[in-house]
Amino acid sequence: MRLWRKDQHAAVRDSLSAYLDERLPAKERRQVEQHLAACQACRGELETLRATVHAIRSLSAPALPRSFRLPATAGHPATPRAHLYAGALRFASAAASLALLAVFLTDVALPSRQQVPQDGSVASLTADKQVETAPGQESRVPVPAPTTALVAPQPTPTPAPQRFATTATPAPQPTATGLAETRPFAPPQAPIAPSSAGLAASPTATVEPTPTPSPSPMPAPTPSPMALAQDVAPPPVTSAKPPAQEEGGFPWQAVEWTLLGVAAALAAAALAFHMRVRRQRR
Amino acid sequence: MADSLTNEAELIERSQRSDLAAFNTLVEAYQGQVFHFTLRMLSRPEAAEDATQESFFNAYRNIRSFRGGNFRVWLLRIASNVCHDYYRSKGRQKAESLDALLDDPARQPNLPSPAATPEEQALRQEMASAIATGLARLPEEQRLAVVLVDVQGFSYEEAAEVMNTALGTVKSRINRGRAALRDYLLSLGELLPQAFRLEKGKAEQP
Repeated sequence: MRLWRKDQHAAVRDSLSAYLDERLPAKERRQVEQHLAACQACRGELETLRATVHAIRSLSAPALPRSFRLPATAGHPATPRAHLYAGALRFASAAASLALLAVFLTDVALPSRQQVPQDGSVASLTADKQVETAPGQESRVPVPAPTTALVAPQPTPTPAPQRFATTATPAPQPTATGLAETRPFAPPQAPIAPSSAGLAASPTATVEPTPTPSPSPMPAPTPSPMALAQDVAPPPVTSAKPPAQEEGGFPWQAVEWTLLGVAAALAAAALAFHMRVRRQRR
Repeated sequence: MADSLTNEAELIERSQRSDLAAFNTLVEAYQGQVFHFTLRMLSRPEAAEDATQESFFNAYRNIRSFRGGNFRVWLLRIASNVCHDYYRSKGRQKAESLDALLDDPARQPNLPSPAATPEEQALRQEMASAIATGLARLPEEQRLAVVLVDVQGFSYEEAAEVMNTALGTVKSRINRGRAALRDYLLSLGELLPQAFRLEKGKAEQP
């Protein structure tokens, strides 16, 4: 009697089921047959397996407990909309990408457009700093001031990095991102901002004199701290760059926000479609 | 055969146009298979009854997404999804149903074959309930493979289509499932070797 390696038995036993069903390729079948001819243990395996399969196959069908005919209230077949959803999904995600691309491109285009008001904002920045240092007795006043100084010029020269950040994340809700982004800066600033508005009307007031353009006597000072606390502060933009607006004549930022909103809505819709299609396919 | 197939295609087409009577003709043609399938998958007759009804409801709801091919495969795919959901939501009842099976073999409704002697019938009955219990002990995927191929008589290819897996996966699941079932039957003791001999003798006679 030949000595078989252990894994050879295992390999043969793994093939026995397919061997029984005559689903083994000719070469493997010959190998199994050769092994079976010489190995009684594996022959025993084969016979018990064969008996098991025979026993399962001889299970008689159960008696039906009742008829499963559908009642007249079964309604109508649903129109298969899975492929429709898939089309909508593709459309929505493509449109969202286009909207985001548009936002990105306008962002790239914008800085050059905004160089005119930049000096104004820089002036305001320096003015801010001067005012800070003047009433520097209080320990708290410096705290809001740098943050306002950081964010205040933002409307004009730095909206781009701000919005790059939003475009990087795949279009969540614009308001949510606005909040999330200002948060890192905000925590120290948010609680103190009101006090700075009340205490130091000076830093805010400086905004008014410095924008030399100031064609419209807009009440810019008050919105700026408020808007800082809330959002990225679109109002300062409009107040800071009226010349740019009059020259360009196009509310780029409004367009961008709209596009971002559209992109977020489309992305949300695409996600909803995706979930729904997956649920249906499962 | 070809006639019954065209008839089936026509019934499906009419069902897709909301013809419930046509669909119910299909129900009558397939309810035995679907019930047998769900019973072997779920073990408990009441659960199988619910699952069968739900499968036909789902099939009717989605009949318009059937685009040709093997209707039986399509139908059992729906039924296996229903059973899968049943498992996921009512996994705890599994152990309970096993106990019930072990306590009461008469819960497995089986039609006695007409030509069997009383002893053979009793043995068959015992064997059938042992197999049902053994199937219930298999992991769901192996049971599905064994039920499809050995109970429903599907080809490996059809089983792979129902299970949405590769042919090789089906083969190995069937192999492991059958081997585990065999080990379970052998573990039951003296009764089953006898039954094996009986079945084997019968198999070899013709």
